[in-house]
Amino acid sequence: MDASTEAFQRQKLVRHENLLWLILAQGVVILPLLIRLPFWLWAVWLSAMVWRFRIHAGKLNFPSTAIKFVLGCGCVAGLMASYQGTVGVEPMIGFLVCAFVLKLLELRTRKDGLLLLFIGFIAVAAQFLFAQTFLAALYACLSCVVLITAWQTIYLTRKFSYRYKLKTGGILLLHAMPLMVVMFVIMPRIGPLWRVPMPQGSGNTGFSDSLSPGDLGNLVRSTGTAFRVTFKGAQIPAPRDMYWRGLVLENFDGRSWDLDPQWDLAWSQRASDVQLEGLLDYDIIVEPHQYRWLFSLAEPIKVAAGRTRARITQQGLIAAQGPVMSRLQYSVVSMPASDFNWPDLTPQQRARLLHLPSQFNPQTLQLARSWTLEGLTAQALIEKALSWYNESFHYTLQPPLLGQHSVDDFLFNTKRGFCEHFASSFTVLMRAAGVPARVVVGYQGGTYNTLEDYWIVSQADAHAWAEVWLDGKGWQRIDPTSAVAPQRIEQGIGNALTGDEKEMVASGQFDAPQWMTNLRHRLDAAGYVWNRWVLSYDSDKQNKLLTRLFGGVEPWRVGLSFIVIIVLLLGAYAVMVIRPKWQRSTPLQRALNIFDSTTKQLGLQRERDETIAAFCFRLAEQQPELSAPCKQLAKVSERALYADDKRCKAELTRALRRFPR
Amino acid sequence: MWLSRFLPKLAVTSPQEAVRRATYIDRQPNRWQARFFRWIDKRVPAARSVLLTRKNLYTFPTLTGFGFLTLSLVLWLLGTNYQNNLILALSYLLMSLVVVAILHTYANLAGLRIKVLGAKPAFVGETVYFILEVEGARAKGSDNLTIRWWNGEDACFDFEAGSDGKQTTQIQVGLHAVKRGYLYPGKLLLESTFPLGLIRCWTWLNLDARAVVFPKPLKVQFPLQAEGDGDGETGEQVAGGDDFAGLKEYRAGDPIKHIAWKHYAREQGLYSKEYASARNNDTWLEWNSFLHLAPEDRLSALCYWALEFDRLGIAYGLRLPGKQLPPALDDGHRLSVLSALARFDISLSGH
Repeated sequence: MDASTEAFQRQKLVRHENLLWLILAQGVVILPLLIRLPFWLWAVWLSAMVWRFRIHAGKLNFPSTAIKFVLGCGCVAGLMASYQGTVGVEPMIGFLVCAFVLKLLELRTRKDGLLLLFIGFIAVAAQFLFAQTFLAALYACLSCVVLITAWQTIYLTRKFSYRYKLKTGGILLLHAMPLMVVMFVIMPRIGPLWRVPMPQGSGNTGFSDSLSPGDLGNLVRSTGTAFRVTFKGAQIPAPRDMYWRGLVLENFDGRSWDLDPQWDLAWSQRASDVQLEGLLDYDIIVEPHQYRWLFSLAEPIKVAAGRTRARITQQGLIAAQGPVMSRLQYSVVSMPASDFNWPDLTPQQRARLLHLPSQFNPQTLQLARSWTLEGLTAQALIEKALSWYNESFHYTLQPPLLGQHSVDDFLFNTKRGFCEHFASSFTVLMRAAGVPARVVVGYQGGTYNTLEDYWIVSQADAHAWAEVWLDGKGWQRIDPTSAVAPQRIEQGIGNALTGDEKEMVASGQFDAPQWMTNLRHRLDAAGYVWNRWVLSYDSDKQNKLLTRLFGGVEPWRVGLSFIVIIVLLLGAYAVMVIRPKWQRSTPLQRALNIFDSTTKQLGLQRERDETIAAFCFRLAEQQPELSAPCKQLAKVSERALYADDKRCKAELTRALRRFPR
Repeated sequence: MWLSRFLPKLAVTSPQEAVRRATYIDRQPNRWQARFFRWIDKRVPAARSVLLTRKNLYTFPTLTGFGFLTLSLVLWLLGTNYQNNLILALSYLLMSLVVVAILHTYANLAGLRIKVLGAKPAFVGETVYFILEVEGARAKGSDNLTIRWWNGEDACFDFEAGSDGKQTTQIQVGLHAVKRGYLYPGKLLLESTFPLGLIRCWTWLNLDARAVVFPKPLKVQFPLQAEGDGDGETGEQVAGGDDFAGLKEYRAGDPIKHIAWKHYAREQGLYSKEYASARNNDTWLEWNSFLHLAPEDRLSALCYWALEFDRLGIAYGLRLPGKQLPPALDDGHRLSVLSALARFDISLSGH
């Protein structure tokens, strides 16, 4: 340790290379946060960095308390202005980043360095509030390696290469990993202790609680996954039958369909009529869409969403307790609608399901009334409407604009539309003809991922269809789109559209070459495993896993297993980390051991005090066919003995290893 | 207070602290410390060299370590409240890091062997440096070790990895000398918080070390009447020169190299050869010359004049009650004079 280092050591100051490491670690850690915060924070960070370097060069002084105070106030004011004074996760993280960055300006002693690093770990955690993908986790690992390396450098006074430092930092992290996994798996999970604000950055995705012409047409152009499904039983419906119900819209104002304000009332009669035949049992991991509704196949009879409470509503939907802010996994059991024992509609319900505003769409109302006068049954009415659609309508993503009487316009003028046009107009027709009907919004179909055996339902699968009430049969699903473009239902939206329109759906993912599709599936499969096993690992899964591993979840059993595992792990470490080098055999010794056991098999054993050369001559006499390698080995060993340099030793090691067996 | 020894020293070493340290140098271990040291004494007798193993190494989290655990607890709360498994995983990772740091901190010290090589003598008021040899076999070496006598000054050192086999390094550990005589430094503290500063690993070693502390030189007038020798030779010739002057009967204390071996071999008796210098008078440092001073000051004054004569190149002898060193002038002589002064037992002087 030279004099200057010692002076630094005594004053416990941060040294130059240490400063560089700290600044690097800070940069690595705040990058993912900066891209989500107001842009001016970049400038704050860069200028703080430049300032600190100038201080190091002796060109500037450490800022006085007054200046630091002013800078702090400036940052707070800037954050207030950028977020208009709202309190939430982003402003808080902005504040954290400001404190983190300004700490550079008073980075003087080791203690400051430690504080900087500790804030760094909080920043790594903050990054997970925004993104929890596998990549984000990998990046966090990288950040941790750099943070630990910088941390270690604080206490290092010997000169090492940056690669050696990174290696030792990485080894520390690597040693901590298995312990972390054990704790992650075994430590008990408890629910949130108090309510916390959630990040607002990710906007609502998917459809909203109202549907007007053109809404879904925009939605199918957005990329992204809506949810992923795993069927647990043998029963898997065909993709054309996968109608994922999200919302039922019953209120029509002449142009758009709206959600009933009391849509989420629980339906108590549900659980009573459970049939055991033909049940569908499946798990869904839904991406956060900021709404309360969840998706299921008709008719859900059982739902379990872990800690988040979810219930089945009167319309056969699933409503979560609060908006889905983070990825949520839930499992559903559905039974086929045909087996369902429907209670009769009350007069109020029937009236609501038949209601149409009278001043809109006169032509449609008139047409429906003329059909009624023909005396057709409900079933015949449906047939008639669908065949009309089939004859003269077109399925397109770019429908012409519709006027005030949108359904009239669509049915009698443009005759070109997307699924919501068909669903909406069909429902209006049915209601006008006296059949209770409603619009259902959700997703239709899905893409099977063979790698991990699950279905991806993407935003491009968004769909709308109708449900009509048939007396004696209950609710029946009618998809007027299938009458116009059956391939939309059979093969997905990518096949129902023409070349130009395909481009518009989900950024043209339907035209991608095969290898890209494969790659996308592979990545999605990895992400799915990540979601299923890491992100949605909760107390339920924990209980299942612990039962499988230790045969029960009693506290003593889990505690004992935990202690045993930790002790074993630490014992292994103790041997690995602490055992000094002299207790380990050198490569030469190991090679010699191998050589000895080889010759033992040949029937000749080297005496403890016999040199390799002497033994080789003895061996060559007994086994003349081995005399050439023996002589060679003897020569090399003599050379290694007398030359006493590393290269000769390495050569001897190689020669011993290469000795024929 | 005893506990504070086991907590990290967060304060930066400042001149004020150095002063404070100098003032409490002479203090005794407090009750708890004394009890702890007695416990160590009972467990392990003092030895010239000690190997650091799990039997004599202790570990405990530092204040930073507790702070870091608190941080991971905060992250755990964050992860629990947001139901965010990755934040939970991060908090578990940080907790694991503390556990792993225990092993790494321990490994940094374990396997070292501390050996006492000796000590550089010093005067009262100066720092005595004990020379220790540290020997290790760890390929990575050891970093950021702090070593000090229980009431001494910190010394930091690193331990380089050798090319292969064992490596040794010498370190000097200082201790402020307050009293003349033998200095027994007491317990040696060796500690380190490397690599993360979360865990402190330390040991109290019972080393068999001692150093000689010379009296502090005290400048006083040299008494003139003490020059020359009361019962010695008279005349111009003064013993201690280069020219052979004659033989005299051997007296205990005469230099062995001055013995007339030829006469002894002829069985004529034991004689010393006398050398004389025409120029120099014999110079004696005498206990009795400084009777006007207190006994300790007397030794200090003798010390001062010994150094002064040494500097001026005048051969000098030393007479203390029960001890006499004939005049000479070289490094060995100086050392024996100073050691005699250091070790002198005042009770022998009749005071």
